[in-house]
Amino acid sequence: MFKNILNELYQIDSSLRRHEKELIKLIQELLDKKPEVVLDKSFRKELREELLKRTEKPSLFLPFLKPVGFVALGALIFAAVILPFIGKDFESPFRFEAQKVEREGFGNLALKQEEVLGKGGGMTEASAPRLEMVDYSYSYTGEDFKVPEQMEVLKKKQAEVSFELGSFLSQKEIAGFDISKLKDPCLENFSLKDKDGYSVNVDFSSGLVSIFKLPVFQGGNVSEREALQTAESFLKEYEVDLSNYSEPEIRENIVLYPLEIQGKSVYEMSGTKTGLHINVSSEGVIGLWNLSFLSYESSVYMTASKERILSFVQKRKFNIPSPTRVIELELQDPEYGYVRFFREADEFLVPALIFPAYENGKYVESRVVPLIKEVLDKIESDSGMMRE
Amino acid sequence: MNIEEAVKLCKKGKLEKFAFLYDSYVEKIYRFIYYKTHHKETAEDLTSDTFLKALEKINSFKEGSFQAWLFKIARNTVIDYYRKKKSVLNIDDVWDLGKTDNIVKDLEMKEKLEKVYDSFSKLNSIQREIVLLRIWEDMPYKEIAEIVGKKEGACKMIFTRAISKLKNEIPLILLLLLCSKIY
Repeated sequence: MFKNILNELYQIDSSLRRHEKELIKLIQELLDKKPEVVLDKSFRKELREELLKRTEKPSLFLPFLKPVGFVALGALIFAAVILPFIGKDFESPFRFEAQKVEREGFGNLALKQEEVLGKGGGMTEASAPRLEMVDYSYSYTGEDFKVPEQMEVLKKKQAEVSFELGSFLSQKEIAGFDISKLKDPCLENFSLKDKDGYSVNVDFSSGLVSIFKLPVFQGGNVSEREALQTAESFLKEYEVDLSNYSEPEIRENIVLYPLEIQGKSVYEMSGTKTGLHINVSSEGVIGLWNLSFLSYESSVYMTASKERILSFVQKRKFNIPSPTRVIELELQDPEYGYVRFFREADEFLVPALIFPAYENGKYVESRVVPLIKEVLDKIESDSGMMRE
Repeated sequence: MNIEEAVKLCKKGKLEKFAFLYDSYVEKIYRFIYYKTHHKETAEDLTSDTFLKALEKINSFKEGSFQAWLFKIARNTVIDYYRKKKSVLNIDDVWDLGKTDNIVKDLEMKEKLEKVYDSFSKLNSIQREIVLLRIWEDMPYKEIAEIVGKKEGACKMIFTRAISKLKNEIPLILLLLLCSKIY
């Protein structure tokens, strides 16, 4: 082991050979200091039993804890969308699919300048804090990286089911109005409310489903473990398809299931992950939002150069003209992801690089850089940044 | 049965074979998490979370080292744990908290960890992690790279810099020890 470690060190820095004795002493000291951590036998046994118990079940989810009034609701949520189509085959709108269209098939992503930005927040002067004049500067210290010349942009499309439902409903006469005269109708949204006050809202134009209890009932805080168990039981009970969501993250009483498209996380420009939110209290699940339809079209667009990406990510966060303090953050190796981007009502998932930012080695935040040239043009022009 | 066979069988639905994987790695994973938390109950909770996630996601394991995949889950579980605490403590792992006095309740372990604190606290979190995996776990760089999400070459470079840094600290540590003995 010593020999291998020393050889590896010398491959990187041959001058270390002169210090071989010191290095051997140092490595030996580190080995000597390794604490003997002993795993508790009863814990080991209990966890093994728990794992084996779970392997016996088809699902890993825990039993439903507090059904409250959701039994009727669960039937409503998804059956409401599906009910008219019993016997028909159609793709679940909650499962990711992307239909390819021609190159730059969504037009100029930077059009409608006054409308495009704004839903994601992030690196604009408007978000600068008013009282504290603190700004953040960034320097990239990671490895060199390459960006492909072109990448696929995804555009969310209206789920087929909304057209099917529109067509189905338009066969009826409603309040004396013959809606069958409408041409190619599609259902934009609908709400269902059950007798316990649970409201299910399905918005086909944004492709989002939300559920709330009205009026909002009070409930106490729960531990992280309880919050997770309650959320997972609820999702299991109503067979919510989580194949496009990664491991849940818990923030107080909210469980976030981050959206994951083609193995990549989806971010807002602010650097936070987007996904399915479930609000939990001691009374059970009290709200669910951002359950997203995942039908997309994909089209190829030109990317920005690596130099421009680095220039963008190293801009100051708020761009305050005379900050009272500037905190210097170090950006490390990025990973690929998507960022949500809006052009009027159209929602796009734009390929992005996500740079983790550290202060003195401690993670602080993530910086998101869209990789498509037109999108960067738009953001920089909106935020008044000078492009190189 | 070896690790590869057990993984294959699990992916084919014979999940009871996961017990073999658990038995093979539970000590290592617990130790890895304990080094990052210094707290028995927390390390046990995060070890449970790690294996439950691994069992749930076993079908998403495609190729490479199963050990690296499992350590990566453990590492992300610990990162999530500290990120959730970020509003209170801005830390990556327990070494950033300062001396271990208030963290380790187990007196014997506290003494052992204090011995290594002076060395590890001089490194940043990624340096610490790579030194720990390479020296304490004797893990090859290829697997370390998979776990920490960096390239193999970068891991070697980080390790070399960390060792150089520790080497340069030795005379100072010795001097301090000497002074403390004199006075």
